[in-house]
Amino acid sequence: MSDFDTLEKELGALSPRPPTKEFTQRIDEALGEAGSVAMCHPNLKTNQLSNPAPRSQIVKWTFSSLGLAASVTLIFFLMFPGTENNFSEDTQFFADIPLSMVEDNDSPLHGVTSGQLEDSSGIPSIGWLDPYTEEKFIRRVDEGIVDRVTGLPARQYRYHFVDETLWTHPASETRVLSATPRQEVYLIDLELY
Amino acid sequence: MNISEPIWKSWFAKHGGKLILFARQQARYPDDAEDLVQEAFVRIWRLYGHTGEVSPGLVYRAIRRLAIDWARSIDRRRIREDKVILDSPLSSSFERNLEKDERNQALLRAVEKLPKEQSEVLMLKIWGELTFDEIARTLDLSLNTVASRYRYALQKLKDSVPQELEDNPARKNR
Repeated sequence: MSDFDTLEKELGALSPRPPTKEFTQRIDEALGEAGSVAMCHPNLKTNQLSNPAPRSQIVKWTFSSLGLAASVTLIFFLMFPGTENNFSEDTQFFADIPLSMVEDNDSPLHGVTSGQLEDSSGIPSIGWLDPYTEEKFIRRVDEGIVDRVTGLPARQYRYHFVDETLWTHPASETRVLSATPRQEVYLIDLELY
Repeated sequence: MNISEPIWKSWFAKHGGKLILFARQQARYPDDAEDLVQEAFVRIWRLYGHTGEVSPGLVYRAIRRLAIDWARSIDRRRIREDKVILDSPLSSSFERNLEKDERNQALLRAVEKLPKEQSEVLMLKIWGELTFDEIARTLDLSLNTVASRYRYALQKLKDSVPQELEDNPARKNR
């Protein structure tokens, strides 16, 4: 026991006065709507609310994901043994694989030529204009405060977009529109007050 | 606990008294303590409150920064000069039963007489229940500085409490 243990216990036994009702009321008024964003949930205890993501679960999921990734990598190397310890030739390796290797025998397009496809679908294969692309902003979602790796807080915003590509074939007055949803996440550094 | 109550109320009931105590020590005048706590807490809760939990260290840090800003502010100084400054001892920030305890009164008088840099570390450690690491971040100091200030503060208290008990006005009047 250190020299100061008794003194620390004596000091710790003194309890600061809790805030008065009047002061709490003042805070309530000053907070306004921000005060009612987080409410006590009837089925959760306060300590559960303060620990939304149990660490053990995060660790479990992380290891599960790592295990899955490792299995996929292992299967890949077993299927293509020529790639072992030969990463500098990766690009060449993929370029050498003829596209016909991945042809799916069960596909309805198997064995169908472009000409036959054009005839059966009614969609021409040549004469298309350059595609027109457009990025459409859908919404911005404030996902609240997150901690950066540095320990500093940042506010996270998620932007939702839809990337559209339009192909036009003037001769047949055909238009093909492709829409792909996309998200971007922005972190805005926060001052601590 | 009332289940339909906002979370901040239970949070504030738990930490509010300690925050006021720290603000009282940081503010140039004790009257500013509640204003400081209100300003700091509202700012931090608006940023983090939707998560349902806020680290007390963030509010302590905000109180300290605001206290520095307010001390520099000419406008606030003018307002303060118009106020009647109340001379309230540190013991007024603690539970009432304390008044019956001579030694506790002497302890708090001794805390009040500590240099500011030592008493702020002591308050955050004892009543704020922060770790040395959290105190270092709150006060923008190194871990070693915080730990040594804490030890100096305890040593001073240990040395000065017997003297405080001797000087107790109530005892003198007996």
